[in-house]
Amino acid sequence: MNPIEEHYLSLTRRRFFGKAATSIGAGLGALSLGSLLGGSLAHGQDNMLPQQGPHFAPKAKRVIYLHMEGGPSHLDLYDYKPELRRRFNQDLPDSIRKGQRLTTMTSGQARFPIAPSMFRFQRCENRTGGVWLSEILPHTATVANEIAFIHSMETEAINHEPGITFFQTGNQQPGRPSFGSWMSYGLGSANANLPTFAVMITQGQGNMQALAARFWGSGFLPSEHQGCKLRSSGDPVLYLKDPPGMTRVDRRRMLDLVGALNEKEARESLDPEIDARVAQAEMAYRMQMSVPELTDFSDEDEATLALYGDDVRKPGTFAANCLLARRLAERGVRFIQLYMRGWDQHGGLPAEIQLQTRAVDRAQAALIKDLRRRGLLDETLILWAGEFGRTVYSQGTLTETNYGRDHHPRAFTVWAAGGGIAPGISYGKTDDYGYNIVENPVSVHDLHATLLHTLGFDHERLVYRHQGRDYRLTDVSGRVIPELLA
Amino acid sequence: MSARWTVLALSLAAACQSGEVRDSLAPTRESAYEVVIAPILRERCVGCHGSERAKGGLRLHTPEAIRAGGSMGAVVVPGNVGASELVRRLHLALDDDEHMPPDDKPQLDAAQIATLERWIAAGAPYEGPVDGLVAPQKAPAPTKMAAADPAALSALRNELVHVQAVSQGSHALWIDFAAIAPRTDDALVERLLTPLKSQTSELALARSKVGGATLAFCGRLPALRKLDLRDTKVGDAELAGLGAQPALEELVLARTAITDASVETLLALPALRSVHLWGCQLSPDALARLRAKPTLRVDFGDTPDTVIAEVEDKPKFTSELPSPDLPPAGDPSAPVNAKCPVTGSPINPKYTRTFEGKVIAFCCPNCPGEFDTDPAKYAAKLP
Repeated sequence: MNPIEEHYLSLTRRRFFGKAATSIGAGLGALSLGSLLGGSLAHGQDNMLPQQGPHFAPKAKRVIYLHMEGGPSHLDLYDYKPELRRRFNQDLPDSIRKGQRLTTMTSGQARFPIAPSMFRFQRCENRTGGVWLSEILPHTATVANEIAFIHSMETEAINHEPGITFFQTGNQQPGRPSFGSWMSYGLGSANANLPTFAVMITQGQGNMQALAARFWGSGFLPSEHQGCKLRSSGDPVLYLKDPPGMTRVDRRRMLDLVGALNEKEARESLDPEIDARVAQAEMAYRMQMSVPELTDFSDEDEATLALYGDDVRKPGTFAANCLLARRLAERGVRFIQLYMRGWDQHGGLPAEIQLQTRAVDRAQAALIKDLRRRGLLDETLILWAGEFGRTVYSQGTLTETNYGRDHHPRAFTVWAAGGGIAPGISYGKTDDYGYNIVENPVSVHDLHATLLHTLGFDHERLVYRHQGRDYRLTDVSGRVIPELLA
Repeated sequence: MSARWTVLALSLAAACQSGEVRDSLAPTRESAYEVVIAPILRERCVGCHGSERAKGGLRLHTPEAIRAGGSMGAVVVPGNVGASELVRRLHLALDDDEHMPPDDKPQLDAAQIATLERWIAAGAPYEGPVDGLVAPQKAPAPTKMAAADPAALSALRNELVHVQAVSQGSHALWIDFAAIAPRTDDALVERLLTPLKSQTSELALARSKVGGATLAFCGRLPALRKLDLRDTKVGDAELAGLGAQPALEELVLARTAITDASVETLLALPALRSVHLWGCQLSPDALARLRAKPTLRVDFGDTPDTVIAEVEDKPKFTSELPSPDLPPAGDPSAPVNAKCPVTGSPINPKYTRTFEGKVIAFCCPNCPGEFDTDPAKYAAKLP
């Protein structure tokens, strides 16, 4: 939006507040300020539809993004390379590596011995002749015909921090808004009682990398668009509960007083961050009621809990977070981000990856099935992606049943399902080593552009002006991939 | 009327006609070229590349003309989006001389480009359907839907009800009561939505307390395309209130009190193409009757699991395949061995020594040096 226009809208809003504060009396328990902010005024336009919103009619109304932190091995999960079994312990040929850079964790190795996956694969029927999935994903196999597997994903980053930052923000350097923040900005809230962008984290089983809160930060977008982290133990949202001795009436009075002071300040300084602050305080007040109901699974029937598996009863597990994701989706939350940590298997991969898949496999399949039968899958986009894949050669000692794999950004598999995505397809191909893409490469920008398309956005027009230029999630690149669209 | 306008008028008439047919046939049976592709070309390209004019020798107004290409050759390569000149031109920068349509002409939007690409990817067929390509949905009320009353929108927002235009520039509304579902009842819905009757296009009332009055109200919403009643107490008597609502395409009734008695109600909805009934009390017989309607997709939560077509045997590991970097057998520079004489590991063609006229390969850069310390000992291990 044009900053000057934004400034004028701010003036309009101030003027409106000036009148509204006195003239609008008892709406919704006299929450005049809060109820007003819950609607269009938070966007600076009275009585009009917000200017943002999809450019064209969307297929998907919300996103559940399952980020697999660490870089899951495509070779042991999704990218079937049977010929490698006949190349066990051979060296990675120069004609395959092509002099590409490696991390310093393996660049000094004397040999790069080929490590075929030790797992058996099974072919699941789909609309493109079937997809081979690893035996350690038996539940995911049952929904393979709902999923679009992208075997030709590539990224520019070779390490976790820039890799995750790139996937989340479209740029390797920190500072840009997260995908979820863009969606909060673009789509707006569909439930004024809950955050628009929710984040949940599951601890993994092995080597875990730091997860910085800026991965769900709003960058230069107004801070009301940042992700709200739901904690797995204690209060889901910190400082949400009133301290002992404080009643809800007291809290309301306090918010009204602080709100009045903030409003005065906002009118003088025209600082939009004050609005964001007021909006968040009001949101928190409403969340005091909505969050306990959200996280209470007692209204879920036994069959549903069983679908997600026993882990679902343990808060913070991937299964519990998947169920919570479904509950958030049905309550209109726009962007639900789950992080599953612990896919960084430099050594001891076969044992560790099975602990990881045991944690995610049943739950992610359950999420698809549960959304589907509730009529929510058609309008909920699910993305499953790590920040990169893993090398075909072993890091460290190689045996038939034990090996490690280093980071591999050149080619890996991600998948999407649900709203607007073509179900039951395999897209793209890697070479016989799973090392280079040989067909239909998909960049992170392409992926973002395609996902935005299903959400009703032309990625080139979803922009925010900052420091004199229009920024996009897809930076200056990206192409919608029609084959991935339903 | 010029010949050109006659052609246009005729094709418009044809389009309208196929539009009528569309309503009674499964959308997937239509020719994707006829109902999706040709209209886009007609709208954006045929003015310069059609029966009247053929700039660059190219005409795009008939299948034959498209196949024939322009003076530069084919512009559509079936199955190969990347090689199709038509697509390449669309993607060029607007200020590029080769960009099409020229920068002073109306441009294709991203969805239209994606549609063309999808069609080409599917082999650019001129007959029959293409997965995912359906005729643009006819706006429920092409008779100029009026803009919503701002006061009515404010009233919704003051109650924390979500309301949003279905897309930018559209007056059709998506309205979602999720935030206040537990206290949403018939009276509230009717009070808030009465002024927005003609704009309400998608309505989500999941987990609310609505009943018969709301359903009867929905039956009178002319533009209502999608209705979500998941997790409500709605039963057969209430649902019957919808009557033969003309526009309703998607209906979510998961976990409601619907039974076999609603089959007729559902079959009577003329535009209905998707209904979710998981958790309802429906007999196999009733389901079969619903599923007999070819244009209706019925989800009863009984979608079968994906079929596992093949499971591989426990893998065996060998290193029998030659490295792609090895010279072909018989070539004088091809190594004589497949395993490193020092370690027994598979060889890497990068590390070799010539010994007694034979090329010997090793597994790593350290082994040639080790070989040199006692060539006879290691040579004995060669095949």
